[in-house]
Amino acid sequence: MIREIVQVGDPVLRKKCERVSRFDSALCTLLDDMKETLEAAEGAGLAAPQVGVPIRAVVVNVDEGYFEFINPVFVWQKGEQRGPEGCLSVRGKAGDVVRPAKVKVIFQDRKGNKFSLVARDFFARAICHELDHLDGILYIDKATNVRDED
Amino acid sequence: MIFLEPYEVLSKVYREGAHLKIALSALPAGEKGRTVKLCYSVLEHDGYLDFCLASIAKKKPQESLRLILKIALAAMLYADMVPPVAVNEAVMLAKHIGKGGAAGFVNASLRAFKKENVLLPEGDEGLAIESNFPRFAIDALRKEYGDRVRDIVLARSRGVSVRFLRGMESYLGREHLDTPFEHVKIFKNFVRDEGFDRGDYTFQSVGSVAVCEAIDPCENLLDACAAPGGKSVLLAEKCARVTACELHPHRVALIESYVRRMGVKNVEVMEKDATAFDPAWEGKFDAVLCDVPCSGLGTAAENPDLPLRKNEAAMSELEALQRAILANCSRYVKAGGALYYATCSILPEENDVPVGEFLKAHPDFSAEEVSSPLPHEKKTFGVQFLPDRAFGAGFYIAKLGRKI
Repeated sequence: MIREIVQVGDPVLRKKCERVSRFDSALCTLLDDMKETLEAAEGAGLAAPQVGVPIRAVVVNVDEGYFEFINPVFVWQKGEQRGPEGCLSVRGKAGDVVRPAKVKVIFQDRKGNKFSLVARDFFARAICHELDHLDGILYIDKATNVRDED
Repeated sequence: MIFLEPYEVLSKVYREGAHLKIALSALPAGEKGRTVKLCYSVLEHDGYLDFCLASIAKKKPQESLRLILKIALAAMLYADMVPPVAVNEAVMLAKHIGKGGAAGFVNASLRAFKKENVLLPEGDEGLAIESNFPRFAIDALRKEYGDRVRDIVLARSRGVSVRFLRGMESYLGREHLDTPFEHVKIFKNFVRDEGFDRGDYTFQSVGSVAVCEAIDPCENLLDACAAPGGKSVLLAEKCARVTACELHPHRVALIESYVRRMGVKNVEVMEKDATAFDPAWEGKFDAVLCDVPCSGLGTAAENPDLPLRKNEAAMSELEALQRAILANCSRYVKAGGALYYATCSILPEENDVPVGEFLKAHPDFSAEEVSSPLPHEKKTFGVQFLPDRAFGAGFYIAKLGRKI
């Protein structure tokens, strides 16, 4: 089911999200819905708080593939890249953000299995952007040259 | 950087008039699949992409930036790349080629792109540009199907059609669609593995399978235009002997390797011209399949890379060939046997029209009922599968029985 993507101004986007402790069918439904919502919106990533659920779960769809990260934590961040970003919760705007060029994260899948992963370039940018959501941070807090898209 | 290779190849094509295939062959070996797909998408949809560009850039951007934007648009429209990824790749490429100053422009114009904002000419002129179908084909389909023409020519592929011989279960965990055929599934993504070389499965359009399903089992079948061999191999499951013919030697080799990979023993491959009468074969076959060369317009959804620059002159040449093959091969059918005529076209001029003319000239043949579990339209003589309702496949088959 496609869920509504909440927009900036909604307090849920500013909460520090709770860790996921129950890997149950409700989590699976949420993740399936997030995937469908992200596909419909043609975005690169979506965090659970963006559909109004303040828990530590994000999905990312980039050239490397489709990923689900539950309880993700950075192990390290290296280098620097600067580039344009947008956000499905900040419609019609874009801005430039400096992000690490390469990151390593540890995370769990929807069954609770633990993994680690190294991402670089745009994949790393997408992960950083989504993980910020879990701490109530939006890219417009960090961006320069925030502008209207049309 | 995903767009760099397509950019280099297409620069050669646009600026130096290089031939795409030659420019592509100059690439280093390895994973070139995506570059190939993107290059074809840009060139095949060049006209439509010009209209897309006009909808996002007020002034005409310089040549190199136009190309970057076209690649990014093609990636979003035809290669399922999500906009943020395409935008990022385009900006990186602009910076890489020394157009960093235009990064903001590239970013903003791509983000602003919406398919709804593309202003096309009114009516079928615009539909021809959007679908990349030749205008005469749009006109013919409009006459036949009315407003459904839009759904037919804009139908997108549903994925990769895979026909399994064994081991299907281990692949069904991946996202797929069921088809009316138990062993044929359509996967959103399917990368071939060692199972392909073992002949566990093959890539075969659901339309091609439907054509084979419509053919009755028999002792001795001739597949008169058999390359690359998919139908011959499938028909060998229900026909005791299949003779697979092909005009061009390099395509004969294609059938041979296909037959070998699938481990089929009862297919005999031959180099033979289907328009030249062989007296030794007169009345010798229980069934003859004429899967004739055609425009391929029925497979546009499955092969968006397929060059669709068919003009009416090329079409009349094809149509003459189709008639010649059908008339010649009909002489190989024994009394009481069946002649099958098939294409991967959706144009009546390549399907029911030549069949009707053949029947008029050959009173010893009559059209017989064909049924299929794949959604289809019943035409006067044969059945037509259309891409909007048949998983992207536009095929045609008619069965003509020879009287005893």
